[in-house]
Amino acid sequence: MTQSVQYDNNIVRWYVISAIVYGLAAMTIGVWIAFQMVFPSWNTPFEFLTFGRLRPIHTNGIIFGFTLSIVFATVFYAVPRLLKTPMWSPVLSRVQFWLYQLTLVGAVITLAMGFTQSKEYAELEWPLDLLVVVWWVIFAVNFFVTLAIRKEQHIYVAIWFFIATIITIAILYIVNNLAIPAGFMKSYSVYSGTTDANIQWWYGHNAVAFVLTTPILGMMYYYLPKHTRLPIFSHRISIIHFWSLIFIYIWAGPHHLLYSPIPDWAQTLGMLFSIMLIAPSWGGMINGFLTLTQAKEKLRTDATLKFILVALTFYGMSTFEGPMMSIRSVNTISHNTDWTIGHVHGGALGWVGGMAFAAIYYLVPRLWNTNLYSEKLAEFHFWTATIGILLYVASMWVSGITEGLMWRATDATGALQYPQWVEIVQVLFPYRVVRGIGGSLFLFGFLVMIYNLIKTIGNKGSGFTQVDLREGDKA
Amino acid sequence: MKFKDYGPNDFDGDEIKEGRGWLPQWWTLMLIAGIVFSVFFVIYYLMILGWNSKEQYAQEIADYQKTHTVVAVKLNDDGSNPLRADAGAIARGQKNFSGLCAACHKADGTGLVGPNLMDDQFLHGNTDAAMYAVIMEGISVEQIKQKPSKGPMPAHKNSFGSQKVLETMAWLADKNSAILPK
Amino acid sequence: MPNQNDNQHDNNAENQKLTWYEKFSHPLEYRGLRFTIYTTIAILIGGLVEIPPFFLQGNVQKIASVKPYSALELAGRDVYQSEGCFYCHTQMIRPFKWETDRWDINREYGAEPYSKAGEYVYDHPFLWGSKRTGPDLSHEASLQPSAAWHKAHLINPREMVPTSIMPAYPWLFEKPIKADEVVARMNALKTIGVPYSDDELKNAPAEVEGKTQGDALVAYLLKLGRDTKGK
Repeated sequence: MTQSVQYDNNIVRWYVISAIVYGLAAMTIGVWIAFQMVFPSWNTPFEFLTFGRLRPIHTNGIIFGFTLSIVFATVFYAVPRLLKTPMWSPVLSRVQFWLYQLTLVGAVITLAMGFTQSKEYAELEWPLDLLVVVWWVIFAVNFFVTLAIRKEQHIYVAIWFFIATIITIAILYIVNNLAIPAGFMKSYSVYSGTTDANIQWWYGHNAVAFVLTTPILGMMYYYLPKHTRLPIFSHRISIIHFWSLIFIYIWAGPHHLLYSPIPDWAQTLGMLFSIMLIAPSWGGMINGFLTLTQAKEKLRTDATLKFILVALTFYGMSTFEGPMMSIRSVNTISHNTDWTIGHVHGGALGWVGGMAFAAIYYLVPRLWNTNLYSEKLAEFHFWTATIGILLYVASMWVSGITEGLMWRATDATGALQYPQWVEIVQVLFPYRVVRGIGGSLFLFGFLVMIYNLIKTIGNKGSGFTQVDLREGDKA
Repeated sequence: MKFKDYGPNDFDGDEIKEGRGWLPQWWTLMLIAGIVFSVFFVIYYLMILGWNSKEQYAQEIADYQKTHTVVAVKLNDDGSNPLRADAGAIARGQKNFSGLCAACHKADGTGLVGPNLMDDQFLHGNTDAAMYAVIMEGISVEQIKQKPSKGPMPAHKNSFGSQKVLETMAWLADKNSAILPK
Repeated sequence: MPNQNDNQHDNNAENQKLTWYEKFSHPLEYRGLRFTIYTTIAILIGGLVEIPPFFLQGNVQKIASVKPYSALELAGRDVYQSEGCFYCHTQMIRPFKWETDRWDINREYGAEPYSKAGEYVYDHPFLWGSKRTGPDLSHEASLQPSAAWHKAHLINPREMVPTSIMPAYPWLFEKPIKADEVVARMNALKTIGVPYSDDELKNAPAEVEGKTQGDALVAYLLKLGRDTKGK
């Protein structure tokens, strides 16, 4: 096939670099604050180094810095290729990129200074919110015009997920961030109390759905068949799991508010739709696994494929664990504990991280037209990352269930067995140390990847050769 | 617009192919089961049983009260603590103290924002009866406004009840001989 | 149309037929606008069912004794937000005996001592939190009524609780509250329905005069649970 269209690879390179920079920053902060929870002295000497200021930088950095960057990289790489036309406006692509960077830098600075709306994953204050809306609209316009002028008539499943992401995030973001400004960098949510809680978790839960799930599924549907050159197992599964996933996900928000003062009917809907969500979520995993099995021999030698496998595994695990935690009786123990933190990291490190690394290992050699410097180092990255995740998730399970049970434990007289809060905190010390070690391992793997990529890019233009991962002779 | 490039970039010759494999049966069943279960749950649990979290709490409290009765312990007629010098009570008293009182009076009772209980200076009296009254009823913010002292103190008649208050006093008296029986 | 040549099932004539959901999906897969509209409808339904009922009258049972935050308390609430206290402390007690035993230890909140919607009507935004690294603070006015304790604890938590892992916040007691900022914020809240009277707005600067951020935070902590205590 001849190259009839010139694709804009610059923008993709920028986004890949942006993902790496924000990933490194956010993960480093993550490790730091993990150790703050065992060594409180790590909170000093500067006020912006306290846990309460760093945590939103960590979460926003991972979600909107690292993840969104690699999602944008994928969109600007894959969408033109799938639609066989360059992005409609390279100028808008660039405007979006720089406004996005401005937002991220602004986010780091303002969050460190304590300017926050205090809604999880919607912490940014109103001037930055407006900026976000501007570049999201620019992105949407650029994307949808490209879609309209496409040369390939058929819209591939990866693009379905990107469409869902763009629409849903726009709606969620605007509704949840409605606030009355009370000065520069200070505002109050227009909603109050239970209404605010309900809207926040409708947003918060679906930020997970439409930033950390649907675009990552889009990535899976692109990189997996491109990298292996194997057909996606089933278009039928794609149809069913796409529509059921996006329809059901939206309802599940109130599972964050079980046994809270919001009405019981809303809580029940949140719980039931979470349980219904297992099958749609697993649809993506099954389609991925059944595609992967056609190349199972190559799993042994190919790190990118391994990352996709581990991503799908953690996706399947987290999307089962989440609905379990949404069941009222389980939530009684798990709510507010470290278990929740473990759950979110299983998804973020395993699923999002795994898929993002696969994307980076796929993109960098192609973008700089060279081969990966060292497959061995990629392999090493894979194992440190995987062991890191397992340590993290396992320690948080133990820690979460331990505190959940200790909070409710009563002695023979029916009185609380551990009336002193700090007694329980002390018991969790070793698990939180292990968590910090797990996170450090993951970060170390990330550093190895950066080294590997720097060496790879140093060799740019030397020519890329694709390894054929298909088994036998299926040409 | 011209883009910087590092050479040929056509690594995308392969079209992505999609098969039309059937949905795994167990997966379809799981999807349907989730929906059926939800409908069943709403009808049975919410409409027929009428479950709600408010009643669940009331039930939990009622169950507890059925199986647990509170034994009230009182001061002796002369106002002294009946648990004085009771080794078991002293041990339990120390545990009570470290659980609740230590936040203000420090684990060893020498005081933080709450006054030192190990010296011979007492703001509200040093007899068992006086201490019992202060611990049970607490010291309100209003009382402090009338008669300034160290700070407010919560009433412990409900948090501890008389049994635990007397145990705690037994431990204090064991540690500090300035606390007199009457 | 998705490529059908590379599929072993296709030898089977039965399998060539489109299923009902393929018949639904295939036309859409060639129409970007229609696909986008259908997607939008699919993602709107859940929110439209779950959110609007919250704006109906009577959704929240009012509690008469619950009052808006005073100028100093509001300033303290802003500090609570800025410092991210809600990342580690919840303000929502669930209806379980073991939660109410712990956070209504003095039995001052009646027969249903767990959190109720009416307590939060002036909370813009809500600060329930999602993680209890430290204890719940909904009833702090009852559990620890001493301002001196809170001040000492904020300056150095480990002086009050030797094994605490809470960060120390000594600098809060060096930073003054800006009166004009507080008034602007009260006015903003008034426009979205918090019933501040003209007197409260007028007296606000005097109330925060000479106070530090730490003083405000302590005042806020002592407001938590105060309005519903003993009611």
